[in-house]
Amino acid sequence: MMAALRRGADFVWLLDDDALVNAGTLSGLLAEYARLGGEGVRVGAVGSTLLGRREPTRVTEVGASVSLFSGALRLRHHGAEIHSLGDCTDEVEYVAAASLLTRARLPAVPTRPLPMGAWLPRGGRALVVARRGADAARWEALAARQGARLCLLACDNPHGGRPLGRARHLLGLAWGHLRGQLFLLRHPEAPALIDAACAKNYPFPFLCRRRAFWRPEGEGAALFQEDAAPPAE
Amino acid sequence: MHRTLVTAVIPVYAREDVFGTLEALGGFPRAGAELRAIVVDNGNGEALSERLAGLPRRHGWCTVVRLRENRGGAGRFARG
Repeated sequence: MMAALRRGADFVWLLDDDALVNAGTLSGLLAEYARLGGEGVRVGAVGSTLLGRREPTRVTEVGASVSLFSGALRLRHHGAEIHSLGDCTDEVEYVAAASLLTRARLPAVPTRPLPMGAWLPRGGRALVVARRGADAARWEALAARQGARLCLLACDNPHGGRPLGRARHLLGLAWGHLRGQLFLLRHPEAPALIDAACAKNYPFPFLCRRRAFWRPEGEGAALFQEDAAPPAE
Repeated sequence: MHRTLVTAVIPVYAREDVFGTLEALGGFPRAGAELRAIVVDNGNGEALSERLAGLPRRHGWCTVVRLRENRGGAGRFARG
């Protein structure tokens, strides 16, 4: 990838060495990138649908796009958007990165809070740690509007935090219930919770990305601060 | 007018399939984009490396880089 950047690539297309692409693969990935960009999604990457070699009509790994800042996944199966792998009618195992298109140079980190919809896409699933009261009510209303499954850890004061043991217990419940995304909003124990989740092998999507971004300085910290900003309506 | 440059990065792990993948890529229309490929030779045998090194002669849009070392992401690349 460094070599691609040095050669001035606009997009980097990661391909497995045993991926057999068809004629429409690249145009499809570029079109999906453009389509999502047109919807205002800050796209991190777009991945192809993979079909079985022995049974080319069977989807083995679904296509997906990843939102750059919220980490939200959008899954596509036989061309239609689906909300989870459980909605698939064939033996889909996971989301593939065997054919993945991403921009070589990612856009700058935004300086204003993202709209709530960017945090919780339609049909999405998320664990949110928010303040009890108005913040929690806004998340619940959004989840109802967007058909999203939400596990809300409402605290009286996220800045003060709840006892870590209790939060870890809830994290485990949330994983068992949701298997979705994890957002930790303005939670002072975020690094400890992420460590706890990793230690318990809860593979929340993008958990490790968030962990990687938890740095006291540098661009990653700026991005985490953006993630941690209260959502705007 | 700027033409979108897409660079396919293909790490090779002792797969013969990569030659077919490149043949296919070279034969397909490129959706208005310019396509190049960087094949990453992970050093899985001299015979394979030799074949990979011959790819740019067949596909002018393809470059081969050889992964000389890979320690914690500090790999260094050299043109093959």
